[in-house]
Amino acid sequence: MSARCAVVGVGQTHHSASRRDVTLGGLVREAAERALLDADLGWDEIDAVVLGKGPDFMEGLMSPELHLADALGAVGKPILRAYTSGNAGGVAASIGVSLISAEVHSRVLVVAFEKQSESSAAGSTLQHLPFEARWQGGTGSLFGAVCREYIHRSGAPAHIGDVAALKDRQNAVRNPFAQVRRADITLEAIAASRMLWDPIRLLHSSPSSDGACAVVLSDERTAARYGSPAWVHACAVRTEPPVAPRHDNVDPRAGRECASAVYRQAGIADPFSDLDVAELFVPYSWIEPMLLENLGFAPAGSGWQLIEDETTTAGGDLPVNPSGGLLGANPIGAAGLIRFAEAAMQVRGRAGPHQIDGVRVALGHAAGGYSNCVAMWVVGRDRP
Amino acid sequence: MRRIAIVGFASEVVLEPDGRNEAELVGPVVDAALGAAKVSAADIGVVGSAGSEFLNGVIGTVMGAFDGLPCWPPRTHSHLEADGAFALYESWIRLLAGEAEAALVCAFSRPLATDRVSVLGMQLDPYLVAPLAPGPRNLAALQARALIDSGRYGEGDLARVVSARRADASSDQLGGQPYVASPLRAHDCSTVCAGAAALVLAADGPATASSAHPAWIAGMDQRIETAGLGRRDLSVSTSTQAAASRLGLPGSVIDVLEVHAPFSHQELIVVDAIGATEVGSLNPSGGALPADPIMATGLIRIGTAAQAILDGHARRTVGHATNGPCLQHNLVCLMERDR
Repeated sequence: MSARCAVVGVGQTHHSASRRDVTLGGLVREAAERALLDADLGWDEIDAVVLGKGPDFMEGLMSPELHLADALGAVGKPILRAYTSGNAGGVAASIGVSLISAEVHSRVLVVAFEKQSESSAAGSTLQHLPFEARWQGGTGSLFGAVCREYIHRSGAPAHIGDVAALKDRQNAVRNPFAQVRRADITLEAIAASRMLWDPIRLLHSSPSSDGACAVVLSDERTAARYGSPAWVHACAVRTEPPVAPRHDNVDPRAGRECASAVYRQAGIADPFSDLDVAELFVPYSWIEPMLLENLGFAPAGSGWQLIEDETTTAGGDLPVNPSGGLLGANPIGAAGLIRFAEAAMQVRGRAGPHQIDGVRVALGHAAGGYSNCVAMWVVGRDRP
Repeated sequence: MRRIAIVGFASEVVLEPDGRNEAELVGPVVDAALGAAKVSAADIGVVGSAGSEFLNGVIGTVMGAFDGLPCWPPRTHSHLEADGAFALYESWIRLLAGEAEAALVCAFSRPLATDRVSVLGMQLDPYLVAPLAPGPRNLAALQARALIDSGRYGEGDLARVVSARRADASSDQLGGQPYVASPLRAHDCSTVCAGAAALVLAADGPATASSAHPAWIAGMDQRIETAGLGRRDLSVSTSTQAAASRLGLPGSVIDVLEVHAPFSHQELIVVDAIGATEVGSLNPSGGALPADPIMATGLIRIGTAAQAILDGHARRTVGHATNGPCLQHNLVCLMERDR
């Protein structure tokens, strides 16, 4: 009952700290038009639209699909919005895949965005005002504690956060769409940057970004028109309660089960050897070693070693975030879809200066909330 | 296409605030819906939830609802800031795609804002419309005026809708009440309250095992219209018409029709857009006017229409849900007993 689905178009904006030149509608339109151009499809050939977007509080807009209906070319069509958490872009892609797999639609446009210059991500993620504001609560302080716990469990050396950040920041220099591209970045500069939430330093952290991303998904019949579609080999979403005795922020069960679900669907026995590249949701560099363990690339407690020995650099055995990842740009609601889209670009051989040679199978990953909301897909060059 | 049915439904509206949080609102209806469906939480593979962080004033209301959701061990779960009916659509798609055998859809509403209706103004275009602060009641009044100006209905028809839906109203007294936004009077506008709803979906085999009369989803369609209110004919609902046409509803007979109309005139517009020649029972629940737990209201309409089949009272029912100013985004769900 599950029909094949392929990525036939990808587009994203040039991400920036402030896109004052466009409205929210202009921002999503820019990414969507690039994806349609890439797919060589017109607006009238799109059957339905899925919009991914982080919390409504961020831009102060409720149900943004309503006022963006025109910009998204959705008037007269079905539209769904994905939220859940920072994994919104990944959830949006998964809804798009379901619409194709269920044979409800033939061509679906998936768009995700965040315009942080018109919002306050840090302020709006404070759950318990006014108390959290006083101790700089919110996302950064939560992840500071999580990273500290990871170091405690794994014995990771203190410089791992710097090494992982250097790798993503060097990769971002090769990504023309990235916002933060510092060709002069050094390990020393990262290690000397301001401590924000111990052990997270300023240059371990993703920037505040305006950006959008769009992906055109199609059924097998439409995909036959294209020379190099990225076939969706697997897609899954997993969520668990954020505050519960069994919830582990360092190694969430939702992440483990989402990974095993997509590996099972895609016929992947050993993710480390079977996947050619991975785009992971790493808002703070210290998250990467945790994800390498959580997603099955390394045994518990040893993910940091893959960073130390440069296995996850662009030239290593398992390139992670050749695009620069979230350290290059973090338009929150779009960041998950960008990971999914970058995986598809790698498979199609269209990643440009940050293309990894010979990619056949790639992983895209999105996460959010208190590490309790996860979405992933595996895309490949071969038809499944 | 795989057969999917609604096999359990429960809802609660809370007219007076009782201090319960999201989890305390949603937990009991989730348990009741699972109990009615004879489905255990362990069998639920997909969870869809809906609520609004603006209504209760804190980011990520879903994070506060998790204690009432069956999400341990982890499930395919996603959350929407829209009416629960749209979460139902997403879960239905996931079951159609074969991602699970059963799904739970729930919506919760805990409006803590002082002016609960004005919160919906956050849905407007932030650059050109929201700064004018037109207010959801004023926009609805523009639509009601357009409907009256079309000549199809008058203020007396609005009063008839109100007296049919509100137990405490009689149509001959309604005309004397003051306008809140002409031509709308206070009783033409829904009574916003707290509440929650949960609904269980099951695929073919499990559905037949769970209920003597599963409410099979014969079709579900949703469409959105332009955000430019001046570019729409507000006296009609073209998106509802398009969805209803795809389901074959115009000219057909419906046993029970539940319409999500937070304003009296919207019931007239939506019923016309669905275009059935005969409706056995229209809004037997009372509809959205007497109790409107925003974000759960539409899901309650569909659940109520499904319940009529589950109870063995009806063969063909329709539930409608809406989101956005002046019926911008509409969903229609057709359910049948024999399929």
